[in-house]
Order: sequence, then structure tokens, then C-alpha cells
Amino acid sequence: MNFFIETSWDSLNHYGEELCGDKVDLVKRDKGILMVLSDGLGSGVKANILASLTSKIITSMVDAGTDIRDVVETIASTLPVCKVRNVAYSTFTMMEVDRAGNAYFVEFDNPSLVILRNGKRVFVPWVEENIAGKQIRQAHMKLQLNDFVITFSDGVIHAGVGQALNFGWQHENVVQFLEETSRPDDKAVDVQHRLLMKSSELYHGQCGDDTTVAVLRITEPVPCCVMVGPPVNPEDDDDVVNELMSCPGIRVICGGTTSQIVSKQLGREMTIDLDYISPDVPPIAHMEGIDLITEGVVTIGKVLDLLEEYSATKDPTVLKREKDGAYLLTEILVEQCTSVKFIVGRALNPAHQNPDMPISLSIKLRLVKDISECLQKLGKPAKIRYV
Amino acid sequence: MVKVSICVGSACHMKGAYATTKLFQDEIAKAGLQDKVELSASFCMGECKDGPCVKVDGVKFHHVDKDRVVSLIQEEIIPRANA
Repeated sequence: MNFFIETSWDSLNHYGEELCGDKVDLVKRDKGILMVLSDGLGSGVKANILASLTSKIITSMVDAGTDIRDVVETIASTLPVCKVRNVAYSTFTMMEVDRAGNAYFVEFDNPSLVILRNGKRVFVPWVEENIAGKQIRQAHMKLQLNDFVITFSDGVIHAGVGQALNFGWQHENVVQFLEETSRPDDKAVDVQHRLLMKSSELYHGQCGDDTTVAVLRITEPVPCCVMVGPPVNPEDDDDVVNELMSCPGIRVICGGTTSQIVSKQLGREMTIDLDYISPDVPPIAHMEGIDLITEGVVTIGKVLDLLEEYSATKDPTVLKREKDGAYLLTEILVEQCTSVKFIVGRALNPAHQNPDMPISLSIKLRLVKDISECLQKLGKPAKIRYV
Repeated sequence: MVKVSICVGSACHMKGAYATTKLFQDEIAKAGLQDKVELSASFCMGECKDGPCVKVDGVKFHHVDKDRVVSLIQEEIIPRANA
């Protein structure tokens, strides 16, 4: 089985700090992913430097095939020593998972990672070893479809200390929360967001420690192909439509003229909804074999707005307020697919070429580029092919 | 059956196809013509410059904004519906 590894992480800074003392570094490779969460001593700039160095050293060295013993020794001997505390210290959790589900975990002093399978915690076969004076825990195991690996900094288990809870949130309570709130249709981002928001709530919105949650989920790949605009050369119509239809996952068309081309090429009838769901976005259309057909530039403009709003909060309810074309497309891009390919046609619409027309090809190209970049920042592989 | 198709493509949308669509639905119902008029939406009809565009039995009408809907129904649609 060739799995897709979905990732999501986010941090809340120590109250009053501009920089986070936790750092997540992710390396995507053909064979899988390598993700490190590190937590530097203290908070603010110093912690940020320690955590950044640690996560970067680990991802770079492990990615190059270095044994974990050498990596830990390198960290122990290269981290700058804090003048105040006279120690160099940063905890870390490393997760290396390949597309077959083979996982290798290494932990040093971070709260132990949690693996959820069908909403229940799974035993992790940890083996402890002393490397360069540090107690390192390592585990090898095989992950299954829909397993979640949830890792977090100690900001999560300290949440609420002396405020909502006398001793903070213990590791067992976190596990219980994860199990109780788990849903079968969860994505990595849902679990990440839920745990981070719960921590924030226990801190009354003012975190006493940098708080980070990183989640990965083993899933089947669901590619999405979005065709936007007709090809410059009409002779390419056939190839582009074939490319769209050969996508085994979700197929989307943005643009009235574009959908008419597909309809003609495939000889399939298209029906357009008469009812507007919201006044600012034109209605969607339907055609056999296509998951979603929307209007072009107005809809993708709103998709970008929604993506930016979602990126700022990671609040999944943002995507579900309405059911117009823009919301439906954003939901597909964020929640339903694992990678996106935009096929962007650069044909000029002759009817749009006049000064009082607020639509231009350059705006459309810009919007798609921004959407693609926004998705990549959310950890979703996205690429654009111009035709 | 009179076939009325309203363009909801990008340009017509920006020029007020939403209001046109709503008003068409309301006015057709008010005139009791639901059984005689088939309303539908359409993507780009290629008349972006002169939108919103509305097709009545294959004939295109331009600049059908909300002020033009009632007169279009009176002048073009009711006579056809009653023909």
C-alpha cells in the first residue's frame, strides 16, 4: 500500500512573546516524511534559537542517513550554552514514516507521543538508551491506514497549571481527551486544532508556556485536479480534458467557458443551478464524472479569501458556513484531497478585453498562484501546470 | 413552454445577474407563469460586454438588469406564453 502521510502542526506562543520556543521541522521525501518537534529551554528568542537549531540538525542529519547516536552527540556538543542556566537544552521528538507505514520514533524529554487507532491509544514499543548522557527513547513500528500520530510540547500538559487545574493537564488526561473527542472522519488538522484549542482554553487564552501540537495521519492518497480556464491553443483542449478525466481522485472545473469545453469534448450534458446560494458567488453546475463545476474568477477570488481566513485560525467551521461554489471548492482543497494539481489555461476571453471589464487573465493567474502557495503553507502539495 | 436562460458567467454576475435571477423567479411566480416558462441558468453566452444577458427561446437580450426584467417579461415572455 502506498500511503499518503497527512501532516498538520501549529503553536501558541508563551504569553507576551513574539517568538515561539517550540519548532516543528518537516522534510518531505519520495519515500515518506521526516518530522521533528523540538522545545528549546525557556521562552522567546533563546528558546527559539535552541529549538530551531535542534530540529534542523536532526532533520538534516537523519535525512542524510546519519545514525541517531551521532545526531544526539552532535546536538549535545553544538547547542549554545545558556549563560543564565549554564545548560544547553532542547527536547525533541522525531518521527520518520515511510509510505508503507513503517515508522521510526525517537524521543528525548518531550511528552511521549500518542498513537490513536480507531479512536483508541495504541502501545508503542519504546526502547531506552543512554546516548551522550541523555536518556533517548526509540521505537520501530508499523502504522496502519487511518492511524494518527500525535505529538506535543510540554506546554500542552502544563496547560492550566495553577489556573483551571492545580497540577495542569497530565499526559493521561491528554490521552483521554484525544480518545474521547476522536471522530472517524477526523483529518490531521482536526485533531491538531482540537488539542491546541483545548490547551488554550485551559490557559484562559494566555499560555504559560510555548504550546505546540503536531499530528500526522496515515491515509490513502486522494489527488485533486482543478482545471481553470481554456488552453491557449484550442488544439490542446482534447489533451487537457483527458488529463483532467485521468485524475483518479476529485475532478473540478472552474470557469463557465472551460466547463463548456469539457462538456463538448466529452459529449456530456451540463446543468447549471438556477438558485444562488449566496449573492456574491455565481451558482455551480453539474456534469457526470466531474465532482464540482464552478464559475471562474469570482469564485476563486473568494476561495483565496476563505483559505486565508482558514489559515489564520485553522477553524474547520470556517469552511462550512455556506454551500456556494467557493465554499465547496475550499472544502475540497483543504479537507477532502491530499494533493492538488491546477491545470491553468491562459486563453484570453475576447469578451473580457475591454476597459470596463473588471476581469483580467492576469488577476486569474495571480489568484491561482496565491491559492497554490496558501495550500503549500498548509502542508498540502500543490502544483500548477500552465496550458 | 417559453425557455428563458439567464447567464450567470463571471461578467454577467458582476453586472447583476444575481438580482436579475431573483427578480425573474419572483415575477414569473407573481404572474402565475411557472407552468408556461422554464427558467434556467447558463454559463458564459459570450455577451460579456453587454451583460447581464438573457436568452428567450434562443433570442438574446442584453443589459437585462433588474430594471429591465419586468418590461422584458411583459413585452417578450407573456405574449409567447399566451401564444
